[in-house]
Order: sequence, then C-alpha cells, then structure tokens
Amino acid sequence: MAQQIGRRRGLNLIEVMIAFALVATAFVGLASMFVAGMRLQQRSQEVSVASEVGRAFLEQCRALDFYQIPGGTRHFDGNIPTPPIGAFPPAPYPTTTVGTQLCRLVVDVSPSGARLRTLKVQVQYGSSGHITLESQIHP
Amino acid sequence: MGQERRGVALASVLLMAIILMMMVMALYKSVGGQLFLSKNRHDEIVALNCAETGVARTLTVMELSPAWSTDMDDQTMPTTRGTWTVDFWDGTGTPGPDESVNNISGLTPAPSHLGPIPPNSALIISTGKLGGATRRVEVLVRAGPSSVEYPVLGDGDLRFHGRFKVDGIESLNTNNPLNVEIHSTKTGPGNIISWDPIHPGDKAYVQGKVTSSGSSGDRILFDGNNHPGSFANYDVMAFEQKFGKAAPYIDIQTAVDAQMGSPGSPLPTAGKVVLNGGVHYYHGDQQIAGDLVLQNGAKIFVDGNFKVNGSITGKGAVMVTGNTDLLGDATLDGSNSEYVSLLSKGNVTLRGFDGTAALDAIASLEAADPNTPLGAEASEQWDAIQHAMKEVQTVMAMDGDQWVGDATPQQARFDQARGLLGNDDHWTLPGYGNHVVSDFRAKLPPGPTGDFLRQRLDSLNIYRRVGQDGNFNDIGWTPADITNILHAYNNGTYNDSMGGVVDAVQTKDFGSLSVDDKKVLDSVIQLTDQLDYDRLGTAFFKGMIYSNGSIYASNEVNIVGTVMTSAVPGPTTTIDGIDLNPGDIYLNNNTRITFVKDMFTNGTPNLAGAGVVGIISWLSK
Repeated sequence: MAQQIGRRRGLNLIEVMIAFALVATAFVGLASMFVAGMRLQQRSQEVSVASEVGRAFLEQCRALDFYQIPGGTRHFDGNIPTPPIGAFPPAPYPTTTVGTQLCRLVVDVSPSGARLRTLKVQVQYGSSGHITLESQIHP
Repeated sequence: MGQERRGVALASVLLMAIILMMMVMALYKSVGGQLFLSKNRHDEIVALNCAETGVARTLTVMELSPAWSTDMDDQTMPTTRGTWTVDFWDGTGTPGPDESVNNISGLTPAPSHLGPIPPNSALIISTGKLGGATRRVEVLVRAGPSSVEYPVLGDGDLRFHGRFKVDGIESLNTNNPLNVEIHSTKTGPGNIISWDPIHPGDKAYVQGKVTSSGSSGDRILFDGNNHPGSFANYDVMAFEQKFGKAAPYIDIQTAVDAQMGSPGSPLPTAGKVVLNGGVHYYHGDQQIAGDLVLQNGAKIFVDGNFKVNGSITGKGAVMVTGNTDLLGDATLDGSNSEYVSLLSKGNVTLRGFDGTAALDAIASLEAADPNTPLGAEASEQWDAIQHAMKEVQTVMAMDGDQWVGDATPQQARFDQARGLLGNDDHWTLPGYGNHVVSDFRAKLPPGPTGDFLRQRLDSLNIYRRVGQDGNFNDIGWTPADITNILHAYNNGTYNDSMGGVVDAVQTKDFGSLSVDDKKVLDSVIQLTDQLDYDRLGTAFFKGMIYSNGSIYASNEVNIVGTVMTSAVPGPTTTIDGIDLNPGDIYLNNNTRITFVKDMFTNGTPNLAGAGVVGIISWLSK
C-alpha cells in the first residue's frame, strides 16, 4: 500500500509538469491569437469610424452649393492644416474626434468638366491607418 | 480505485485547455466577422459613392447631349477603386429594372420599370460596385435651366461704360426691393469687372454686391481706372472675391437641331411678325424688319444668324445658333408672366435706340429754324415731360398715405405731374398747357426716330385721368369704373379705352386698398420707376438674354430681367471697336438692368428640355 502511494505521487508530479507544459504552450498560442483578435477588433472599429467620417464629409460636400466647391485642382491637408476657401472644405475638416479616435481629413478637389468636380477624401487615423473615398459631384 | 484516478489532472487540464482554445477561437472568429462587416460597410460606402458618381456623370453627358442613351458599363473611378454602370433602355420592349430611361427630348411620357416618365425627364439607374458590395441609386431628373439668380452673370469680363444702374425687385406686382449681385466666374488675369465713366457725373449704381471668382479683390475696378483720380462715383454695397454660380450651359445647337421637324412659315420681310404658340424652326440666316411678337409661349429656333430690327415682346423663346442682333425697343408692361427668353450660341448685340440723344439733336438743329415743327417749343415740352416724370417718380417714392387718396398732402403735386404726362384737361404742371405730350407727339417727324419716340410716349398713357379714354376724350367715371380698371389690370385685360390706371388707383383711399389694389399700386410704381425721366428714348427688353458668346449693349438699353453668358471657347469678336471674348458682357452708356425674382423663380419654363438637367428626386439610394 505504501509502495503504491509512493509510485502514484511520482506519477502525479510528472502529470502536473506535462500539464503545465501543455497549458503554457497553449497559452502562448492562445494569447497571440487573443492579441491579434484585439488588434483586428481595434482596426475594425477604426475602419468603421473612418468610413462614417468620410461618408458624412462627402454628404456635407453634397449639401454645399456646387459653386462653393473650388473649381481648380486643390489640396486641403488636415495635417497642416490648409485653411478652407470660403465654405470649403466643410466640417468636419480638418479633424474630428469620434469617441477616442482622432481622424484627420485630407481633401483633394479637381475639375472633371465645367460642371463636374471630383472629390477625394482620405480619412487618416492612428499612426498610419487611412481609408479613401471618392465621388463626383454635379450641381 | 487508485489506478482509475491516474491521469485525472492531465485530462482536466487538457479539457480546460480545449475549452480555452475554443473560447479564443470563438473570439477570433467574432473579431474576424466584425472586420468583415466593417470592411463590407466600407465597400458599400465606396460603392454608393461610385453609384452617385455615375449619376453625376450621366447628368453631365445629358446636358451636353440631351438624347444620350449609350450604355456606360463598369466605368472606373478616377483614382480609387470601384466601378459604376448606367445602362439605358434601347426603346424596344419593356424597360428592365436596371435600365435607365432618357426622355429628356421626349414630348410624351416614356415607359420605365417604375411607370411612365414625364416629358423632358429621365430616370437614371446607376449601380456602383466594389468587391462584393453593390449599391444602386435611382434618380428622376428633369431638364430645364436652373433658377436665375443674378441680373448680370458672366464667364468672362464684365465691362460697364458710362452711367449704369443695376437693381432688383421681388416682383413687378409687389415692388419690394431686392439686393442683387453682379458676378463673373472668370479666374484668369486682368480686370475682370470694370466700370469706366464717360462723362463727369456719371454714376454706377448697384443695389447689391459686385463679386468675382478672381483670386484677388483688385480684379474688380470701379474707380474709373482709365481716368485715374478724375470722377470715381459709384454706389455699390460691396466688392468681393467669392465663388459664385456659373450660368448653366445650354446646348443650343442640339436644341435647335431637335426642332428640324417643325419648320415655320417663311418670315415676312417687312412689318410686324406675330407667332401664336407652337414651334417654328428656320434654317439659315433670318431677318425681321419690324417687331417680333411671341404669343402663348411661341418658340422660334434659328439655325443661323438672327436679326430683328424692332422689338421682341410677348411670352416665348428664341434660340439662335449664330449671332443675334436686335433693336429691342419693346414696350414695357407690368406683368410678370410676359417675357422673352433669348438664347444665342453666338454673340448678342442690343442696339438700344438713343432716343434722348436723337431728340436733343433734332430739337437743337430745328430750333434754329422756327418754321419747322420741332423748334424751341418742342424742346421746352420735352423738358416739361422729363420734369413731370421726375416729379411723379419723386412722389411715388413716398409712402402711399402721402399721395394715394384725394385728401393726401402730396395729391395736388402728384396730379399736376401725372396730368401733364396724361394729357389731362384738369391737371397739369403750373406754366404748361393741358396737352403737352400730345402736342409734342404731333410734332415728331415721320420715320424710325419719330416712330420710336411716339411708341415711347404712348407708354405714358397710363397716366391719363381715370375718366379719359385712349384718345384723351372725357368719358366720365364712376366708382365701379375704378373697380373694373383695377380688376382688369390685375387680370391682364386692361386696355386704353378703360381710363388711366395710375389715376384709378391713386383716387382710392390708401387705407382702404385691398390686396389686389396694392398689387396694382406696386406695379405702377415699378413701371414709373422704369420709365426713367431723362431716358425716355431708351430701349427695353424684358426677359432673359443668354449667350455662349458675348453680350454687347450699345446704348441706353433697359433690361427688366437678366443677362448671362456661359462661354464656349471661340475667337475674339470686335463690335463697335470693342474686342469681346466669349463670356464677356459689355454694357455701354446708360444701361439699366432690373432683376425681377418672380420671373425666374421656377426657371424659364419656355425652355424646358433645352438646358440644365437637375435632379427632381432620389427614388432610392
């Protein structure tokens, strides 16, 4: 009986060590997946917010009188930020904060004909993330 | 039993590890799903922008080619991802749910998957795609020039020479003043908007702002630049640099070509031409020796140059693919509903009749010979007419309770001046006879100068006494006659035989005027304001003048409406020694433009289908 108990104790130590090794290995893999998942979730949220900011900006542009949109090729950089000409670019240029996310807008406008303007807005967020939306506007 | 418990810890840990792994996997999958949704949302926004780009591009091509029906498949965006597609129904069978229907040039409704599309309209269905995201936009659009907002609007240089006045009113029936704006969309070098006086005392008056899209304020020169320091004299609310609306581009050639199937009867070479409704197409240069009267929205389309040695009046439209020249001495009335839309692909020249100068010249020449009909007496009578007009304008500018009604403080002063203008037997200015205007009229010589001045003097008939007919005979009057006159004036059925409308409304008690009576009052005040006391010989044009070239007004032109250019590149033209580029507007010597907002509130209905394509409604998005 005493011999049996002694053998069982040794085996349990090995079992626990193996178990720890397995758990440690699993946790390393799982933790990396967890971190990646968190990053993806963060990115997803940022893309979603940036897309909405870009969409809202283009809607603001559409709400403007067409002739308030400059006729030449212009670059409005929200990082500098380049000052607006009249009412263009409209809010939320040059920056807006949604929750804790700061978005900077870089707006390009160029003529595509006498009565057609091409508008491109790049919404920048974080250190290097951005989305770009483009549309053409007719009066 | 001890053997059976071996491995329990390992199994438990493994089980926990599996559960943890499943949880993390689930989390990862969930995050991946979120990312997919977020990406898809982004793609959908891009796809919607693509679809809206498709609508914008289609509107543009429809403006340039109203009959456009070529499919535009998988068109790419200029610099970003995504495509858009607009397919058109080819006219056979029934339009499919994804097929756009262009009925811009149509005169009858056209079918679509939503039901009939009205004439001069189109259903645009644009589909935008990016990756797996697809967005579809349906838009109902209608063609026609957009509402006009400026009395003077050009794509080129705007040059004013000599005295000029630009003002605005809400309506000819209300006379409420309106601030207006002169604007040039030109952004190039040089003086974009300029005013140069001719004589000392010349004044530029703008009841509003003068604005330019030029990049600096010094592109507007209103200081008599050619005569530095001499006689800058202007009254302008402000000078500004701003982005303003350009005049709509109207494809006149296409609009005219579309009417080839409706040839008009040959135009008479002499006398007045009256066109009663309908479409009248002419190929080649056309010339009318007398007046052109457009009734009931008649439209005349000329594929060539068009010259009218008289007035264009009534309600209708004129479209010309070449140059347009007209004398423009139309008679002004107080109606909002009657005006002419003149659209010319080439240059428009308005040669206003310099009646004042002509009359002064005649009077001064013949004053030397007392045996001629026009002599010193005529010159005095002319001065009296001008003085009376000034008096009438001065009194009418006062509040109505000062002069409307028989017991008002200014009643006698007003009636004296009105009586002189209206050949009233009862009233005239002290020191003058009772028939100054008719005596003066009788002295005018035959010929175009006399005809022109007689026509101008006839516009003074509204100042007759209420109890005088068109020949100034006394016909008596009752209160019911006054009611009839005012009612007829509001209904557009007023005529000379009824008696003087100005006296009719002035005779009433100001406090008892009805809403309709006040419309008449405001209308005659406005009319009086337009009949400038010292420019009685001027020429009138009522409506819209539009050109893809330049607009040149030579002399004493009075426009009630608007002038605008939408430049199409072309050569420089020289008119009366003035170099004009497409888009330029040159208004010379005593030009007056009065913008009437009501005329253009709903665009220019005479030209539906011939101009800008505008969105009526977004059906789905």
